[in-house]
Amino acid sequence: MKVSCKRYGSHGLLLTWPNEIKESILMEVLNFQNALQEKYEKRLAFTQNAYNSILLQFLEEPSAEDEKEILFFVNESVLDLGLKNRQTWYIPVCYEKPYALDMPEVCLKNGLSKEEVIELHTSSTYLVYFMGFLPGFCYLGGLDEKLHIPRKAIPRKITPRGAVGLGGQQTGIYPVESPGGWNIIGNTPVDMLQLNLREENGIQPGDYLKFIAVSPQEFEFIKKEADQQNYKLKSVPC
Amino acid sequence: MLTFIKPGFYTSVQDQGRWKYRNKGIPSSGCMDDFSAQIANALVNNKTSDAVLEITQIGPHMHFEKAAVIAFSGAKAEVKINGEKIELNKAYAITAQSEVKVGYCQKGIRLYMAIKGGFQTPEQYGCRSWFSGITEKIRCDQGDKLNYLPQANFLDKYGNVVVNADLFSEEVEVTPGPEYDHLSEQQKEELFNSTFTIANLNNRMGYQLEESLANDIPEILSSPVIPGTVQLTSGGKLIILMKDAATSGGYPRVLQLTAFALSKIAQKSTRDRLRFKMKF
Repeated sequence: MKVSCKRYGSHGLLLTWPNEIKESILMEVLNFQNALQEKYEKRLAFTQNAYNSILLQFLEEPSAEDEKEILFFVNESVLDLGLKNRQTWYIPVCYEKPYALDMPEVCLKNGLSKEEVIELHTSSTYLVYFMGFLPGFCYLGGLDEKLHIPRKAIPRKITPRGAVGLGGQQTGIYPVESPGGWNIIGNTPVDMLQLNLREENGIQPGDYLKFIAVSPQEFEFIKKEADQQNYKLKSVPC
Repeated sequence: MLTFIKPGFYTSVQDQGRWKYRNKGIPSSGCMDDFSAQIANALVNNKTSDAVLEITQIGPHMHFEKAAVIAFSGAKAEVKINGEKIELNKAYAITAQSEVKVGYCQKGIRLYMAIKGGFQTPEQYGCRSWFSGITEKIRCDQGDKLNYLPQANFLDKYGNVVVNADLFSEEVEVTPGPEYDHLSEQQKEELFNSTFTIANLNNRMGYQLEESLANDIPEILSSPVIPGTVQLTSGGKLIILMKDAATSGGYPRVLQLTAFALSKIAQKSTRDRLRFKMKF
């Protein structure tokens, strides 16, 4: 069997796919999450996905029959529904002072110029796998190897909201202020938490992000517009 | 309106938690010892979803502008209404301009105060539980005010309960976590035959245990975690996830506490001891 199903607490069932970070696995996870959500809608408290897993949390304890049925469903059905409303989001990021707190260290450690760091970070398209760690924090895949860098030896007590960082093989945005060990190379004026929490047309697992470099002047302008809810973030269906 | 003359050590508004937003990375939050919180709510004829006050270790001193019906349950502490000592697990009608003083928690560390109708604090994402970055407040400060529904009459019948449940003992019931099978026989034996001690790293996010387990089982790909999960870190430390824990993690999830066991842990503090017992 490709997918395993295990009890997780009294009310949870955890489905796990093979142990890999891969777009094709995420697509299966998200398709089955949608299908199961629909199938068991009235009986579920919530569902939650990660790279290769789904937690189905039931309102009432699921039975052994439920478990069998779900296991059969995920292993025997082929879902090719595609995901609805997938989008690529264009996130403005200022990679300049005073936002790029650790840019000198990143350049030094990875042997790159600031321009090369910006070029590498803005040229990739990043897949949103899931949200976790902090409210609205997106786990992204697709960082260029040249930007892989160990976490800071001493984590910052406060990483500002909107900070864009590099840590290990990952890149991401801090949606809220938090302690953190990532190397900060910029900041976005966009409220990522709000964008994640929108009932309609918010960022979803399966979407893509692209970063766009903006100047400190543009950053200030977007921030003002965003604070007054006037800023319309660019997104393109894919 | 309720005003905090003194806020206590860590006092916050909590309810059943923000479960629907876990897929957005928002921890559920909510009452750490939900067992006691629900006794307090039931005593004043509240719904389980009504928001209560979670009092930690050192209690607050509060002024009630309007009449109210309140009840306390959870940790053992001295509570006085207008200077008169009251019992826990019993509902009291209090008049306008009353003062309520909660002392130190002598047994357990979390005491819940329910108020008839529940606290009318602002909802954020369908829930009143306070959490950093989501609600404006994280904990009560001196002078803070909380809204409640003033009670015009006390015709309702209120009672008391005798809580027989064993909230403060060392034994906590668990079921296997998703990675329980990754443990060696020796690790399992150690888990169930040792007494563990709560380390000083304990708060609303998680409780770390003092004793380590020899461990070489690998980490997993980040996957969902829930309150009550016991994680085993690469360094062999055991961490019990509590209500404010992050929604996903990469440490093997070796055990899962029952709901009541989670309430029991929430009453424990640094240097308290516990033993895991498998639920059959």
